[in-house]
Amino acid sequence: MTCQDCELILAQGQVTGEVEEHLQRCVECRALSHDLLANALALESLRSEELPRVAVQLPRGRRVFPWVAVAAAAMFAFALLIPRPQTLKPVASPVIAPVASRAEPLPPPIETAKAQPTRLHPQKVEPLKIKMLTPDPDIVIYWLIED
Amino acid sequence: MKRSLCLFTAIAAMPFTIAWGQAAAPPSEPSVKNVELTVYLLSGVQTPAADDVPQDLAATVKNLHSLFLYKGYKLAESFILRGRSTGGPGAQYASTQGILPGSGLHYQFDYQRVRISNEKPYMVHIDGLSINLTGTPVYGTDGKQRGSNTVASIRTDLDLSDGQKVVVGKSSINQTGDALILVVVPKVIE
Repeated sequence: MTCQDCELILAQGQVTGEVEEHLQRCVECRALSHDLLANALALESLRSEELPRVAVQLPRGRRVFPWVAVAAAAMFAFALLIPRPQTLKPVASPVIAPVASRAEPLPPPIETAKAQPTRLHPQKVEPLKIKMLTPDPDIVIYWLIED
Repeated sequence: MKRSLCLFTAIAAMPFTIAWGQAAAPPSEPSVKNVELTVYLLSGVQTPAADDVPQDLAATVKNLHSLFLYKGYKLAESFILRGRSTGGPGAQYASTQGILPGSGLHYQFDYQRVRISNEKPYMVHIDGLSINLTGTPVYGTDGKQRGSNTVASIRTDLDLSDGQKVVVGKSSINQTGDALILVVVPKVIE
């Protein structure tokens, strides 16, 4: 399995046995997998967050829109009802002249460079790491905070 | 003026110092050292509960109580992972995995590389330390494993002193707001 195959399967949210084998070997894909999982967790945690209420005050003025719309609709209906004069003249069908066709060889196909697939690794966003010193010099605490 | 004089003296003495160092120190070869990581996996719980940790971690948990508002700390698992620092490029990946007793969660702990300083007291630098807790595996209709749900994970780089207890934690790993805490204690073996 290539890294691209692995990324595609990971992007679909699936983890197969083959992918897990690949993740054991590939550092980059394993990092990508961890990032995706961390993103999923972060998004899941946002589900329960309440959005702040924002008070929006609309400008108070004369509402002319409905009247304009009604007037425009009435004028359009009136224009449809007016009978238009039939001024079309019969036109003779054009004579199609015979054209001698000649088979010309097609130009050679233009070779285009094959686009290289770009890797899907997102930019790594490291969590905020806070170091806390304690009275005991042999105990150091790091706390990770993810957005 | 005095500070400028000191700075000038230090800069002037640098070439002599470097030359002396090159002459005195033999060409250093990458030293191979083993390092033993004792890892404790703790959970900080929001519900009132008594601490349930080994005596080695009593002081650590006391410090955690003074910093965080978790009601209790419980040991979920502990293990020792032994690896090697070759001092040069090459695979130094090490990992271990298992199942947390009680919860049934599967864990995988690994790191990409470990580096150890040449001089004592040893400093241990761990690149890509990671722990991943996953739930029950998901199986497809064909009986093959399709994946597993990640419950929590920690991934970071660490600098540790030999014998130092380094705590790495993360809050709110579940709906109840519990914390996942790793305590890593390195021991350099010559």
